Amino acid sequence: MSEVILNGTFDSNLDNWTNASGDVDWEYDATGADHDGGSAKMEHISTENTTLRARMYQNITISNTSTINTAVMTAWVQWNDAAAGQNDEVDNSTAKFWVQLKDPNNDFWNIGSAEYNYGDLQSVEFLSNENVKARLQAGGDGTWGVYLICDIARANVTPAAVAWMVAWFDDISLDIVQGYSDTVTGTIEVSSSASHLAAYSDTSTGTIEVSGSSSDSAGFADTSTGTINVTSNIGSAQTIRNDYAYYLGTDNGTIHETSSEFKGDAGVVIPCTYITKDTDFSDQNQPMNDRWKTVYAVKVFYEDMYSSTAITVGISTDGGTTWSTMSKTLGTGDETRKDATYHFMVTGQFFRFKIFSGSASTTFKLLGFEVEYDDSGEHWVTA
Amino acid sequence: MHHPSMNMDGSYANWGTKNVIVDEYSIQKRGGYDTADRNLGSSVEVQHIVLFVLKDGTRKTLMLTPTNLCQKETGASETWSYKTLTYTTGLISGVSGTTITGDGDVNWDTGSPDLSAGDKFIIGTDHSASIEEDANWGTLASITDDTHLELDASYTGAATTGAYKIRKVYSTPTNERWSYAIMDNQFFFGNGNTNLQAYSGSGYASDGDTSGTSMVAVKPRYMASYASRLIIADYGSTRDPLALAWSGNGDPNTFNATDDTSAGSVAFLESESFITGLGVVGTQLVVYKREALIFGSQTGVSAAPINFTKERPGIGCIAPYSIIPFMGKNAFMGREDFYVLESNIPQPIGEPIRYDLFRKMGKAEAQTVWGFHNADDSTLNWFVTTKADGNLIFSWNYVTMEWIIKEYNDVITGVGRGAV
Repeated sequence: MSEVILNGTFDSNLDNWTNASGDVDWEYDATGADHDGGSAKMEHISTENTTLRARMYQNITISNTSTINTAVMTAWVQWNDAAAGQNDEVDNSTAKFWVQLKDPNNDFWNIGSAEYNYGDLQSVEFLSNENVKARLQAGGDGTWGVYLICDIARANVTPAAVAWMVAWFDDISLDIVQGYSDTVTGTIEVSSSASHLAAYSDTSTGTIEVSGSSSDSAGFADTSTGTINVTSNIGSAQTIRNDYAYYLGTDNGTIHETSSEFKGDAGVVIPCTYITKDTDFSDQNQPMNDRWKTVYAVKVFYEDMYSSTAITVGISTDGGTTWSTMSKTLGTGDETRKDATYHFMVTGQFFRFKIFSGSASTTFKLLGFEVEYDDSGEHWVTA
Repeated sequence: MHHPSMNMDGSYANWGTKNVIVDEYSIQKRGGYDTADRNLGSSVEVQHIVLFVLKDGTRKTLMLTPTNLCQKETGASETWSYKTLTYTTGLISGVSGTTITGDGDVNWDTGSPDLSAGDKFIIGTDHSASIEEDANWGTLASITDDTHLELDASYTGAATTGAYKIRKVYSTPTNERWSYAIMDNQFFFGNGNTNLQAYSGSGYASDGDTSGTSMVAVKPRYMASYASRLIIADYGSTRDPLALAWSGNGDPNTFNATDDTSAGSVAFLESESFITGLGVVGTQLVVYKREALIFGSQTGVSAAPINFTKERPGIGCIAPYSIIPFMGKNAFMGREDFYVLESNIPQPIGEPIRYDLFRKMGKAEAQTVWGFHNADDSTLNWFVTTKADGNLIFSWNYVTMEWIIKEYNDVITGVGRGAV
């Protein structure tokens, strides 16, 4: 540390400072050891009621201020008379300490100050400032000065009386903890062989990032805390695409999207037909075998999928050659379960039922149907 | 779905039931289709619609007609474009009525492709390539000599000089269709009249077998991707319906073993039963014959990559294009039934429809049956032309195990998945 020693006196109004020659015994011990081994020390042994100021500084280069994690300044000070009980008047004297930083723009910033009355030997940590980081980052990279100032004021002491005091700075430190990150780019190779015949190897090229902080202070304690991130680029992230459709191509060059959303064939009615097997109802009611029956009604159960859907019910007693039919327009589209009854009076021995709906704009969902019939007697011939 | 007798379950549907699906214990209307998304031209038969996804994620919707490979275009005002093999070498130096004159680089009577009457001609500045069908396409009537062509009618475009295109129109055997496979970022297709073609997603299709010594993949009727190779069957300038060939390992563009020793071929010599298709079931390659199934497995030996270990006679595939790959299995039409092939034993599935179907369908119609898997509704769909009832679709839902019959308003000749 360079040392500047100011030895002089203020005028009576403490406005003007006059340097004086002589050594005020500032000492700086760069090892940071206790003051016994050396410290910044100043003595006021003048018989004048003056203020004696001493200042010392050191320039240091601070870089990478933007990545500082923490910066803390600490300082201990001590003060004492030369010999206890030397002169009580000295008790009116004071010792004042400052710590300042001078940024690369030569602006000074007070980091801390304290003033103490004269007394027996005392020692305090007058400064423990944890807000230095913001100041360093505001000032930026460059040459910084660390300034230590001490004023010893001799006042209200009988002039010419022998009275003196001494003050020390001790254990001054500026601890800067620098955050840093290192990036190592490497390759992770995974090799394997498959049970099938061709050997293959997969290669993943990724990035290993190590980030951490190192603390370097008077105790020389280094700490490295790191995180290893492994990223892989095997196969970019893919989404399952659903922006496709099924298309029908015709013999006339046209291509059409098809799905249940479309209720017609290119706007043309789709004739939908469900036809039952022939029945004489004997599988439900065995005595109906070989007897004639009359169907009075067909009740259709449906889920109401669409409004105004035309549903036709037909009955055939000749194997589908001719049909007795009845149509109804069903539904409001409220998706509830409903039924509709179609009334007939069709007599026959074997019955085939048909449900039909032809539309290019509606749809349906049939859940089943019931047939109301009655026994019409034994087999008989009409001609 | 046939003519159920009275002692059968009451839910059996009778013949004549159509355009309804059976699901959720109910009868519902089948889905329809919208008005035309694209139009490739009147009387053009759309045989295949294929979603071709390239490695970089680019998606192409391709359409095969008996004579062309087309691609759906989606830019503003765009419709579709031709990706058929196209010849562009040299420049046009003059047009006079039906006579087209080229410069010294055109080589029309000796160059490749081998031009012939019926191929299409247009001058580049007249061509709206992504808004087809361009009205200026002319049709070649003859190739006069190395630098002169005759069209069958006067050229209608405004330009008389400059870059040009001659589209080599393909052909497909009567009652047959294309086979195709996607491998190594290429779309391969071929049929019994056209050599193996490859389309990379840009430019135009070109010959897919680029073996330097001589082309092997000549007019392949069937193809599949297996064992890091492209497999073709029933091929050759002189048709060999018993032959199967595989490309080089990881090189679907080389079939000549002189150029790549990992390419090769084999013949299945039982000549009474021809090859009718190829499929992949699980880890096996399946060679379909009319009356037998042959199963091959990968060996890992470069020069003999497939070991055909098992031949199962009795059941075969009588309709080459009825083979449907789905969920690691195959389904196909045999002589009396439809089958699902899982491992190496075909399981019949057509009991509710086969009696009436095979009665309504003659032998001539049977060989033209073609199938398609719709994964959205879990159905396998076989498109059948019947003698009396027109064009019907027999659709089997492999989740509900229900058959339905559909009849569309238009004659559907191709189905496929495409980008929206």
